[in-house]
Amino acid sequence: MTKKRIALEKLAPVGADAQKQLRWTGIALAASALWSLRALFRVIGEMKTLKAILDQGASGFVAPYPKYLGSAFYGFALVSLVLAGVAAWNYASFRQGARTDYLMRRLPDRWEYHRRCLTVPLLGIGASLLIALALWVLYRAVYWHLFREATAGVEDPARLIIRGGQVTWRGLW
Amino acid sequence: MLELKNVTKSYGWTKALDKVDLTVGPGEIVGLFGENGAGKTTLMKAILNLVGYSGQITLDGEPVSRKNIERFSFATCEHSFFPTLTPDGHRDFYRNHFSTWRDKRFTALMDFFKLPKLRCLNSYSTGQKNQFEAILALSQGADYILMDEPFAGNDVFNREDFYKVLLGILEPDETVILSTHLLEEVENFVSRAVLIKKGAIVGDESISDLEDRGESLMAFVKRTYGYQPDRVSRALDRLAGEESGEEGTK
Repeated sequence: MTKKRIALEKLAPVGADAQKQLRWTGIALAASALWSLRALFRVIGEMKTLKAILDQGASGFVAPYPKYLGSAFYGFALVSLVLAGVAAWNYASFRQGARTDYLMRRLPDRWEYHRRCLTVPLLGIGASLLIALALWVLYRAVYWHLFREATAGVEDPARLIIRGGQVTWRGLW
Repeated sequence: MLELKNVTKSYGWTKALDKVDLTVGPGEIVGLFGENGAGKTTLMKAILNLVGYSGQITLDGEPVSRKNIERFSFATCEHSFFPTLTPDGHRDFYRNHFSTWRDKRFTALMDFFKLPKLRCLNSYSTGQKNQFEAILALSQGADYILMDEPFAGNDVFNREDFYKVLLGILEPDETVILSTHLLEEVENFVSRAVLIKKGAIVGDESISDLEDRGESLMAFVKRTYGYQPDRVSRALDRLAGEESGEEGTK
């Protein structure tokens, strides 16, 4: 436990709390993931409707997958932007109250300064990209799965996806 | 041996260092003197690679790099410690990063100056901060100790103590380059005086040579700088003349 704390201390500016930075990054990423569920719910809702329409023998259409994303992944972009700001703030913190950057820049270990300023932000941005990518793939898999389920028995179901259109089956009623 | 050859540094159109050539050998205590903005701080920052420059700076024939940067320490009036860390925290940090760290010297100096060990540096007075900055530079275990106005804000007794302690603890091969305006105070402390004006070295004399000539450090600096002793009285006379002229016209 102690070893872990010491290692974390070395990943943030001296006097700053790396654990706190990581915790807030985790919370922000979790919130972003929750926000992205909007896209999933939209996909599920649309596919349910499509299935209901097709079951009634009427014609229904859905939009291609990207059209359902909207602002669902903006949270991850925002987190990445904030973390870029945290990196800048970390560097600036070595100039607050003293010019500690002079010491950091003349350390024999050339990476110490950058490690303390960039590790948490880069980890966070990396995690943000990975989670966003994983959720994007997951939602797309859900989209295809539900689409195939809804269009089971339909000949050439791909024609039910409106390319480039604003979506939906609604205008076709 | 620290050697600077043709070192030039410009900030825009202003030359902060102008073709500086300087050699400083082990064990010297060099006073670096010059008016504000003369280039003293820039010279030290160039040695430490904290600013870019053209020319050559070598230590024992090798360019100053991460390989030999440990052989330099730096005490600056801007302070380079961690304000939110205690002295013990600094000790741990320096010990982890500088293999030459002198723990005994650090403890001895902390005790001598009676600096609080459990308080963060941001709660220290300016004088204490200066002392701590200098203590870190002296305890790092560097061969070349650069000090840039380290005692600005300290009282005269405190400075006096520091010079004495410095002379007492420095080992024969430890070199100090000290930038200060307190010429008369350091006259008995430095072994050599280097004068810098508008980024160029304009004077370089050993104190023993000055003593042989019967010239004080202050006199040497004034002479080299072309200081005009009657400048103030002439200005006052002119001012008085203008004021009396104005009264006459009224």
